[in-house]
Amino acid sequence: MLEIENLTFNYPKQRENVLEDFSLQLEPGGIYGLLGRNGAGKSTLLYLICGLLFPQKGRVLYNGINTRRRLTKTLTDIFIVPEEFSLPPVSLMQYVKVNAPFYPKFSMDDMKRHLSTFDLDADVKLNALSMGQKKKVYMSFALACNTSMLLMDEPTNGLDIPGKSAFRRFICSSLRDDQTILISTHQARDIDSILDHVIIMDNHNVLFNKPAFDIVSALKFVSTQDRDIIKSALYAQNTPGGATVMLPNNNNEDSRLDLEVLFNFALESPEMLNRQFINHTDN
Amino acid sequence: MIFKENNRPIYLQIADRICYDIMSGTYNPDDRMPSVREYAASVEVNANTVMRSYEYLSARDIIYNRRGIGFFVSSDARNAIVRMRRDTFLNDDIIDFFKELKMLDIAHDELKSMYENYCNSQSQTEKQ
Amino acid sequence: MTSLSRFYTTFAKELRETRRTIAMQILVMVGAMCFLTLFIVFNNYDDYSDRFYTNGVDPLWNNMFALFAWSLMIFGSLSAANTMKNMSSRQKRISTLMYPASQFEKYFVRWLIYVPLFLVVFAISCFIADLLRYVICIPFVTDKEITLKLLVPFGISEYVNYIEEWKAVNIFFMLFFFVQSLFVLGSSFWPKQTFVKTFIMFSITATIYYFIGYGVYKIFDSGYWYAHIVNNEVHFTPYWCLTICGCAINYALAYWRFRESEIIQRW
Repeated sequence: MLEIENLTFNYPKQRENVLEDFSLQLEPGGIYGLLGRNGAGKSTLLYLICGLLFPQKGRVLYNGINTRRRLTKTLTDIFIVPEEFSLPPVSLMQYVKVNAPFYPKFSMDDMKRHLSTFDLDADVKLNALSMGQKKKVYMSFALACNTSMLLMDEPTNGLDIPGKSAFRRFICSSLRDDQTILISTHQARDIDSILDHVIIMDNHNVLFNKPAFDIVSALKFVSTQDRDIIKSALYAQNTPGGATVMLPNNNNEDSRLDLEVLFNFALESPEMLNRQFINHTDN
Repeated sequence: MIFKENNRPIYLQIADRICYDIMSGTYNPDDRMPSVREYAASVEVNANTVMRSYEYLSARDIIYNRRGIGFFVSSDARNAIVRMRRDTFLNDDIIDFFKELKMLDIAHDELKSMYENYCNSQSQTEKQ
Repeated sequence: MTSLSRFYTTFAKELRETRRTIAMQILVMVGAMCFLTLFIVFNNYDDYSDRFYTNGVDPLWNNMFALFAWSLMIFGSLSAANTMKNMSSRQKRISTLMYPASQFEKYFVRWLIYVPLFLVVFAISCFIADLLRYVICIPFVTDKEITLKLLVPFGISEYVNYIEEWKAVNIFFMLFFFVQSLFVLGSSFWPKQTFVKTFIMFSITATIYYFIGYGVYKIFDSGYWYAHIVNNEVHFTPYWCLTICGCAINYALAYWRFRESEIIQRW
């Protein structure tokens, strides 16, 4: 569905490439998490995917069409919620009235439902909203357009705690089976329970890309005080009660995926991490 | 639901919660369970994870699936839950307990009399 | 969604979202023109009692014409400079580039609003200013006839040099349309602070061309062309074709620049 082929990109006046020979494939259906350090190029990747930036080399194909062409066919099916965005000085209902016709699958019922999930009134002036409220409104609209691909750049930034909770709720309940959503974030804890796939990027490229199910099949995440276990673990992160460690899952134990530990280990030794999965592909 | 400090996989935590709800009467035998999506939204977890929970409970005959309609609590759910918890306790949880006993060098006679005292005090509380 | 309905939706969206700004700008334009009309009237209304008026030429016409010409140049350029204001910040670019209409539709709708639609609004504005002059002058000038100048073709009197005026108007409009298209081009390249940047660019370029052109003319010319234009009736058709070509090139370039835009300004 989405094929990112050998992207190389740099911003003008910057010596280093943000992305180098970056390739990735997204299948339809599923919630993808894109993790990376600040400045790793997550936002840049999202902009390149929807054709807001042009790569120096490589291309992005959405259902076979190069997104650089910005065809209407593609634009009706991709929606991006950027980290910062501008809304015109109109009321919410006028905004919906004027913009919804562009999206053939837009549903007013969905819009109202999402707004109520976020505890927002439909009768507001967009200018009068706080940044967090604007974000909630925009996300409600984004999801109500029912595009097949939804890109979100740091969606939980700027949301209050009930807002983050509401965000998880409506992502989990509203996504159709054929909808794909790519969430870029550096707040692993905000989204770790809702992801289907984990993608980690660093050093201008993809570091790690695996479904959540495969991760918990190949790896085990354990809290322990046992020094021996901590020493022999692939990775250990200190906690007040001891440490959270990551071990190869040799006896098919189920554990809960700790995204923060996984992320830190991926940045530290990506080759060792990926090696854990080579052993498990014969499952 | 907070999934933070526990390394127990989320899908099992959800299964535990559903079992608790069945035992406490929130869900009664033959009641309809919320749909996978509804439940996922209420606990803010990926729908696939909830599906795994439902399948886990279904394999242990605690809930059953009626195609096209949804998941329902089994008529014999309470007994099935007790059976499952008995198996888990006797096969997994008790090992850690035995480890502790051995390490602290507690004889099983001591254990036996403690357990008898406990059972007696419990039945006395029930009579009152 | 058919192309026509999508075009209409795009048009409705652009108009609705910039409604406030446009209303403000129209108010400023009409307000300024009316204010200047009042200024002209109160400075010159006694011209109506002069003997010059008996020739059938409204004495205030030259002033009003000057007002209209200057207003058209200034407000026309300002309006054209706002054509690509929807690309003036990164966030605006994201929302402009991402909504599902074709690039051409997005550009064309903006052009439609800030170029031809502006002219319609401007014409109405002129009419309002002239109406104001008419309404105010009526109580003062009781013995002579005042007409709404815009409704009467100019140059009706034999005392007026018809050819001169007509030529001037033609040249003026050719120049205006070209300048307007230059400002649209400018807004496509510099969506922020368009007016200033384009004006500077235009002035520099015009000055350079003027000196080059004048230099060339001085070297080669013997005075023939100047006399020819001033004395004879000139057919403006080829010059209009040139103007239209020039405008078309500018608009095409502006569209091309818009199409190649990213959310950052690379060039």
